[in-house]
Amino acid sequence: MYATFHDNPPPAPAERYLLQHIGDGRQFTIMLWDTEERARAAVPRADEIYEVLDDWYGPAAEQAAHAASIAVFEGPVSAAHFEAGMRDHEKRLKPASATAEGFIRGLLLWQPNARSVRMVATAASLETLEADSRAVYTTPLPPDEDPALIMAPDRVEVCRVLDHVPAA
Amino acid sequence: MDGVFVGRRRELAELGRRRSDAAEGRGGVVLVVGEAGIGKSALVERLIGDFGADGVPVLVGRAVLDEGMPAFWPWIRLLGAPAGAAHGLGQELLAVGRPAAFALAAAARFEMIDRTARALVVAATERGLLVVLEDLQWADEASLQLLRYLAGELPGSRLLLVGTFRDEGVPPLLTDVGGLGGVQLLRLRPLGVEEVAEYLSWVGAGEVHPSWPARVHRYSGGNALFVRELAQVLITERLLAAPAVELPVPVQLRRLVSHRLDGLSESCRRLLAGCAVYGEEVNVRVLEAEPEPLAEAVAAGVLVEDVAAPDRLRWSHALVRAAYYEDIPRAERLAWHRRLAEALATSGGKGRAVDSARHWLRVAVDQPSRRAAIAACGHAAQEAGDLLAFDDVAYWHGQALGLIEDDTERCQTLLALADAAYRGGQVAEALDWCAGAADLAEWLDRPDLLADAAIVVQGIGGPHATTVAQLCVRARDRLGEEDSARHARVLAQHALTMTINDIADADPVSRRALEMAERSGETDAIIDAVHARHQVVGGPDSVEERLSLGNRLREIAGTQDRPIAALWGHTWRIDAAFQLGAIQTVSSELVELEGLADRVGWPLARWHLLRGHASLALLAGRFDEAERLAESFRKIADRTQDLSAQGAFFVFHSLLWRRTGRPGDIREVLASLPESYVALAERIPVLMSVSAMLHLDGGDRDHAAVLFEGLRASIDGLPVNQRWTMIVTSTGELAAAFGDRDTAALCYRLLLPYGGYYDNQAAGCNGAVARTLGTLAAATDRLDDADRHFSTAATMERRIAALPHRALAQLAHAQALMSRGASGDRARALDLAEQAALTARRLGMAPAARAAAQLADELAGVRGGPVTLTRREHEITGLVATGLANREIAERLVVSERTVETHVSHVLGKLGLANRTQLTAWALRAGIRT
Repeated sequence: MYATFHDNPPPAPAERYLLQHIGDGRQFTIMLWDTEERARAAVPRADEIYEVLDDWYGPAAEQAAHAASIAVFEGPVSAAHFEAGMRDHEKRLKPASATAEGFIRGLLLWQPNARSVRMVATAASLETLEADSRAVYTTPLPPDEDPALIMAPDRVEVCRVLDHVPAA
Repeated sequence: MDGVFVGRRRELAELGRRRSDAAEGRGGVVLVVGEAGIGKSALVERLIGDFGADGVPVLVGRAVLDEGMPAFWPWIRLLGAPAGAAHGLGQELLAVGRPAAFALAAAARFEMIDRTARALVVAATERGLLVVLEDLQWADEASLQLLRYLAGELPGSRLLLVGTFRDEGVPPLLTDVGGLGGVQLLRLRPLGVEEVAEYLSWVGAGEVHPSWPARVHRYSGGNALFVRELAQVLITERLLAAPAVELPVPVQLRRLVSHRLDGLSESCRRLLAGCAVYGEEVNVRVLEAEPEPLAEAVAAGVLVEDVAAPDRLRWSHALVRAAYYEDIPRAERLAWHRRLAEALATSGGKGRAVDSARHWLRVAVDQPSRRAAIAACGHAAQEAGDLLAFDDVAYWHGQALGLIEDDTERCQTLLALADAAYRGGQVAEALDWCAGAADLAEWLDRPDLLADAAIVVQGIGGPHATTVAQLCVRARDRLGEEDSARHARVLAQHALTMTINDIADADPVSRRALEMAERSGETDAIIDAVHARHQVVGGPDSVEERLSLGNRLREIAGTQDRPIAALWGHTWRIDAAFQLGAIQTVSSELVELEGLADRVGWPLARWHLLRGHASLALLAGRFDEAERLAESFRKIADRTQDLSAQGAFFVFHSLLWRRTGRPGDIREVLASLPESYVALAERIPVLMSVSAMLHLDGGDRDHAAVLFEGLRASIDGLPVNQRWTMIVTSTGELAAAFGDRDTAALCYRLLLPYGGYYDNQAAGCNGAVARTLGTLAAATDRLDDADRHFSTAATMERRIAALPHRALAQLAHAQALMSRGASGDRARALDLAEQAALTARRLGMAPAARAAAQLADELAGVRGGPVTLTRREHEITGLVATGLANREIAERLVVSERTVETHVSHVLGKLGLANRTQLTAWALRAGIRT
């Protein structure tokens, strides 16, 4: 699966989330594509396409998403950071989010050219999003993981989910 | 002279002045120099009396001529004196807990010296302290190192150190001490006729014929010892009161001494024979001396009592002992040596093993005595090893070697010799011993000894590494598939030498070493294997493994008393964390390193700590702090005489200079390169790269170009180790500066995989690799890529709050955008240049601030500059920049608002600016303040 970000989304049939920044009210859309070709047709440049490295659901998977956070790791994420980040995702963040009340869905996105990462999390409300984030990010690192290798995101964007159109 | 002291008024006055200075906290060193027998000791005795009268503690130590005396001998003696113990001193100051791992013997030795010097200074705090060291011409090197170090600590203390030495055969280190600032030399001249007359009058109770002083002066040459011995003869012969005649005895000292001994009893003469064989100092308990003959020898002035040690006597003068020793018949001499050897072997105490070995060697004439001598040499070597006196260790093993007949024992002794030579810094000699041991081990078919021969010498580069590698190959051949700690250490050693020699395939060897060492569970093998592995994986790709290896050593240090493992663990992790930009990890490792440095007191640990903090300060733009810290770690490097540490200071100093432009004269920076590195700076890539950048920034493009040529030729095949990133980034920057597009493109290709890392280390921080990628992309006209890389670099620098590097990235970014000239580029470039100028100016980065301000002016279309403004215009511009309106400026300057308007208008016109906003931006980047 692939993901693209749009201020003005194309009318192509694809799963999409319409989001609005809490801060400045700006709206944008995340579109999810089955194939790279379809994603490629939706954006002018290849380096705007994100590979979906993971797509997972939490306890509130059946609920409608009303809030989302996007943790942005600007590129280039080094090889060492990337590998440690993937381990951290698999061993700590994903298991913690999978049991966080109110957590609906997570998407781990990777842009190979810029070597940047975005982690999208959706929740039933802003309150549960906040509680989930706290629960996930305060989970201690496994003892065999080195904190020197774990990057903090450059920024975290908090959004309302205005609309979610599931895949056809 | 027999308690009688004459003359030396100038010297006494000078010593009195130094005594007062020390009492007032201006301590120092006085060295009294003169020929044998001239009266140095008598002068010092007089000084000791003066200090004693003032209630100031006095500690006295003497170096002795006897061969193989332990390192620090005079210091050991004075520290162990009761007066020392009363002031918190003791011989344990010069003891080392365990043999130092890796090649840290020098650092451990320095630590002992530092600890002892500090304890002496502290001991002097309350009542002052006089330390006397006699006969320094015979002092061992370690003792002189301590003296030299202590000399630097004395100004500001209440300690006066007085040393005496003869001016023949002076060791070079003592000459160095004499040349140190604050060390005063007092040269004793021969006594004059008046002083000889004064002495004769004293000893002759005034009944001295006036013709004798001139006669005695002529015969003695004014030498105090000769005067004393001659006077003794004249008194014995009852000649002093009569007119002078030709002297009735020969004037050679030996004969004079014999003459003096003529009157002694037979038992006293026998005892003196034992004393002469014993040495300069005599322990009467070991000698089992009867009190009567002893008292007779003291009364005759041949032996002198030591107030601080009642069981010890010394010869009144070394010349007297030498003269006496020559007259002892050989058989009697040998008998005494054997008796003393046996007595000393069982008596215990510091230095006794050495004494015993010394005597055993003199009587090793048959099988049993040879075995005894070999064993005694082993004990003496062990005692020297405890003091880290590796020259002495080698000496005693060398003595034993000549007596050993068994090949296995011979091989083991060769290995011990190699180890001592290596730890004493004699690498070539150590490898010769290793080769000899390896030959013997092969002949004996002893793979274990062959393995030992391969691992004695560690961490050595150059041609020696090839020799070590050959020893490893031989050992591995015999060890075969043996799975052992020993084999693991050989593999680790082999991997290390392969890395040092830039031989490929070290990776599987080091991996196998580590696996085997872990299986063996033996700590030393694991430490060696981890160390080798760390060297092998030094490149930027392996940062994760280096962190993990550092952790492994920390684990070992946490469970076993291995501070060296902790030290390497912290320093490796600090370097790796710098590469990752994990500043929080750098800080937490530094906190732990500080705890370690406080605990073990090693200068090396302190040096790493200061270097790490200095790098953090440099990274954050706290340049004054970085400079202070760098100065502190430079002092440690100078004091420990550690060349690589001095080289590291040069690298750091260069980076600091490139950021701040301080000091103004680049020659000061170049002068910080150790002299022995000057030639290497033109050959070793990492130094070439630092030096080339220094010359480039300093305006010497020709020199930079020469160095760049050398770097360019080797860049493609450069071994990927810890220095690789710094060398390639510098070579790339040089290529960009010299317009060498091919090399720039090559460096770009090499560095591209590492764009997410920093070229930061504890040795100095150079910022995100992405900035160099931007520069290289711009140099090869890939301006869109340059735009992207510079943006990335600024983001990465912001992430770790590295403001100086962010300013440099912004400046380079602005230049690239100006070159590209696409729509909106000029405005972005101006914005970036202004930000760079403001940051650089605020932090004190003069070169970058100037360049950024010039670029911003150019982009803003500013004409002229601050020099085109009048003083009033300058003042008003500064007030505009603070945000004041014209009316407020007018009120402040007590002029009309109209006048202010006119000035502002003129300024705008002169500079070619359109409005107050532009003027404010210009004033800020030009550094114009009210």
